[in-house]
Amino acid sequence: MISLPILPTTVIGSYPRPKWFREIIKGYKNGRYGEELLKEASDDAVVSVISDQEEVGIDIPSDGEMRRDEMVEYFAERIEGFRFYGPVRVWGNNFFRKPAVVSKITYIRPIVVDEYLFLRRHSSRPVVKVTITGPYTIADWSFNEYYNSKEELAFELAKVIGTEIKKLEEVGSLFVQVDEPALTTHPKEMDWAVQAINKAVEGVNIKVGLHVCYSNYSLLKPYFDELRVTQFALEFANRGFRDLEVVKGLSKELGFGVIDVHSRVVEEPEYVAKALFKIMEYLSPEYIYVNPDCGLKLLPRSIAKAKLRAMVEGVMIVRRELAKKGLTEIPLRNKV
Amino acid sequence: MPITFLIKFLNTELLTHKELTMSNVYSAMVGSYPRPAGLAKLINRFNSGKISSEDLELGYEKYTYRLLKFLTKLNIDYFTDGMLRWDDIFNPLINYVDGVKVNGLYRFYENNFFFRAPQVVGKVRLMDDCPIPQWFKKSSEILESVIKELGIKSRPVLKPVLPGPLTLAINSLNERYSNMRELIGDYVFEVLTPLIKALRDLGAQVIEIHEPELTYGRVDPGLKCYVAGLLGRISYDLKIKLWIQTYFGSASNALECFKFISNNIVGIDLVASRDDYLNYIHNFSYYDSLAVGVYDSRSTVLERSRIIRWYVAKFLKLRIGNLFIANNAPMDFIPEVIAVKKLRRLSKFTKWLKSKVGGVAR
Repeated sequence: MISLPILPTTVIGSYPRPKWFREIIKGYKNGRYGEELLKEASDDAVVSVISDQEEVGIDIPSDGEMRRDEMVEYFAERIEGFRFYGPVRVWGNNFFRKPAVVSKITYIRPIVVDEYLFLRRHSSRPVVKVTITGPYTIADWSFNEYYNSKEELAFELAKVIGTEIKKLEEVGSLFVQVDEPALTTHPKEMDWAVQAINKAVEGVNIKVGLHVCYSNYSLLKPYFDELRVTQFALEFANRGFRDLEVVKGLSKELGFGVIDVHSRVVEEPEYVAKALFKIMEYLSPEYIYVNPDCGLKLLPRSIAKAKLRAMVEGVMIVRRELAKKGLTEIPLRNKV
Repeated sequence: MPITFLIKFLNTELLTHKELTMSNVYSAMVGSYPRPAGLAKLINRFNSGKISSEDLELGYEKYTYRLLKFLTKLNIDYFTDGMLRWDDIFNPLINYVDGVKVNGLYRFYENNFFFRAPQVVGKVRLMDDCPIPQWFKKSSEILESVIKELGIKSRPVLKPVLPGPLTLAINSLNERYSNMRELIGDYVFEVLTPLIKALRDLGAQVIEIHEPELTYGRVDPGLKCYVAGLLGRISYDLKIKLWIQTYFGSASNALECFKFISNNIVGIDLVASRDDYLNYIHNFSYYDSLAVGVYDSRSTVLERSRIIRWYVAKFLKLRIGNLFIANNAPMDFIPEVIAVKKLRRLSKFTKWLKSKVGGVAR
């Protein structure tokens, strides 16, 4: 059984790309650099951001999603059946290349297995996190020009995502996070959306978390038990820690979002600690992980790192209090 | 051949009724146009201090010119300036409202699109330095130069866009007002009325008001009718035509309220009403003006004229005074390349329709 410090600290997934890496990507896109250099730079960037996370004390790092431009795009580029028309706005001045499904969805080859293996080799931590975009979100964030319904598309994607998660399990991954930020977007679709996620994790025996952000959690709550995952990673800092009561009675783990990823103001450790004491009124500390609200990639790297440092320092304040009660460790749970 | 026969049948069935000549037909673009990648890059460069505000302003003017020229050449009769300076339908307006702070990101209805929410912490009131009227003035000047350049005789109508009071209030985090009607009232009289006045004084003939909440279906009918009544009153008091644009819900959710604004232009989302539109469209009989959103701003599938013709024919029989053929919602949800194709189709279809049923051709 693998143990983790109580209130394990982790990230949701993405982390700012180092500036030099962005320059190389730009050079690659305009033909100045080749594949080989890009691969070398990507590897170096992953090593750099693992180091950032471990240096500030993150217990469960990710590879910062260095190789991914965007969470749906990346998968759509590697699954047969998609094409791209151009960028679409998500908020403010932020865009993504929203894919369109134009033919049958087909699994071609492993998508993130190499990412995991590289991360595993370069992290000193016993557990690392791999993120994978969920079938419902890929379906919802794509234009559907091929399937009769979004439901049909989501279940086709569930097969593909399920295959990928099993491949991750085969090579030794311990913790996969399925990202489903779109899950509550269309309340009428939630019944089958939850089934599509369950289909994707069917037969999986490793820890699976589910990340849902910027959403109406009261819509998610009725599905907490039904969803076959161990953990829900939710965003709370952005909403000023409103809606905490939604996790009351949660029988699974919570990945508690304590860092606002859309603000450049670095939180104080005491602010993080206060939020943690608050959430512990609703949930036992043995079932709480601590993370930012969402991926950090839109922040400057120095701010992202400072925010993670503040988060870890805030956790330390609470850990000291919990240690007085003899609470210092929790097991890595595959099932709750 | 059965398909040929069907097409012939549709054409005949749709175009031989006397009623078809009763409506003036117009083409229209409502809401935002996808922010062009080049402009987005400029904004990023400005935000990271690499270019000056003057350079950014030149960028806005360049892309506004490009869009207005494109729309004018397409013969679109009514359009906005694409809302290229807006991040969403609330921002940057809420930056210029006293009593409102700009809060976190919230989902814009059922879309993968987010807005910064207005957090109401005090009595709301429009600030004196709100630049929105000046932006309209600038876009009007650009349109003027486009018209001159293209030698167009009949002028298209440029619509400034504002969020509706109900949509603003429902999407606000209200920490100040004890009841919703009070907040809505202040949004109407302290924020929107002075803006509408200023826009009218700068020459706006029609002001597009975005009220998805009217049809979205989460607000009680009494409140919706209260808001529609206020909008009708503003229009009457200020002697200005409003284009009340609804979307993301069936028009059947707001039929009662539309009566209060029936002297204005009511915009409906026919894509969201596909399942039930036949049950309610008779309510629009003899309306002064109706804008039918038939081009789907949330899908890359390009509409076939035959299908559009089928839908539009139903409305042509209702003896509506002015029928506007439009997109159904803001176009932020599709790539620019698709928006261009849809607007071309919209223009081509409306041109064809005008040639068959009349309407004001430009």
